[in-house]
Amino acid sequence: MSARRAYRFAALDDAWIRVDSDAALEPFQRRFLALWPMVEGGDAPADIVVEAIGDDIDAYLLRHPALPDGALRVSSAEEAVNQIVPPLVAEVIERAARLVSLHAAAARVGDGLIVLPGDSMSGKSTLSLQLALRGARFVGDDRLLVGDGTTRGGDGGPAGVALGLTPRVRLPIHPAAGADYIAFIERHMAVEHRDDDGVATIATVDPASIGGAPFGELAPISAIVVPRRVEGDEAALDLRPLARGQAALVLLRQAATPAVDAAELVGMMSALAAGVPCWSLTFGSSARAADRLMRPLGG
Amino acid sequence: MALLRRNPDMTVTTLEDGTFVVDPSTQAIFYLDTLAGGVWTALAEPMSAADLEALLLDAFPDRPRDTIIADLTALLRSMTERGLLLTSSD
Repeated sequence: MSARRAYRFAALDDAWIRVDSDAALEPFQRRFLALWPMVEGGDAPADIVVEAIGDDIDAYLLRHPALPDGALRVSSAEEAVNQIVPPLVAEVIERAARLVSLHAAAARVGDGLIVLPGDSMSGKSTLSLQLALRGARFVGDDRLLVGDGTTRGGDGGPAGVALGLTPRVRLPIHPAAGADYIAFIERHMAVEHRDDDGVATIATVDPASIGGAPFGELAPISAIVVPRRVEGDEAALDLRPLARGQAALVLLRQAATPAVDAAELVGMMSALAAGVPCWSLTFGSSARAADRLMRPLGG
Repeated sequence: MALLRRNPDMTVTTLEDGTFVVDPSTQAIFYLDTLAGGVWTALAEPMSAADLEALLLDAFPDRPRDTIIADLTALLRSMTERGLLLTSSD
């Protein structure tokens, strides 16, 4: 039976996003958005609605303008929470001008954020966690906000804003990632999925326990590094400057901000690519690649 | 002789190694590589395809003439079809 609950998720600048949800989603909300502040309650009109569909306890309907045709049906509470993220991000951006959602991982090395934009399987998620193992501040493994830093009192330069989402890893972890990395992940993970034989396939990593950045934490961007993982060649490691136009092209392809005017988006991503050093990183071993990223990248 | 010109409705952002052109009516984003960006730059003033061809042949004397002409022909057709370039009758 559906149990309706009202929640508020943090937006920037002390604003809140109202979500009408279902009690069955709460455990997943707390696990998958571990560092995104969420409180129960609130009586303002909902910005996002999630409701159980009829008597089918494993189906939910999400409603928000950012969803295709304004609504999305999913077949589990877990998937409903996964699909809440894009509307939440859309609400954050709508309330804070000049921010773009980027399909990218990120970690703060020293005073600056290394942003790793890329498709799935590019190695960006593993790199961000490898950097966390080495003492960098984990900011995200799949998505973050980028802007010109004027939001939240930044100095005006390119900046990244953490979303507080829980990172996930595919299991088993490839041995090439290194024994230290495997031990690091195993210390901080919780298995989410197993296959039909009971073998673990997906785990979440507790971002709080690895010192991850909470929602809203802002840091200046020091570099854009476009990763490309090479299978079967652990010795491969090549870090070289990336032309600004090529970097901007990558950023545009990874930008997920449907409400932003295309010309404005091009302007913002071009300014970002022109404003920080841009690099291309080809690697076979995420451990070696992370070791390299922890050192000064160059001019 | 028909003259080619840039579509004035497009928004342009230029970086050191490429040019982005946005069609505000469709929100389409086009990335122009070095050749296409060079054509866009050359068309700061309307120009015929023949004059463009002569310009490129002069700029790339070491490249095969047939290759330059074929590449330019395909490029101009593509840019025109996508509305980035207009002809003098438009």
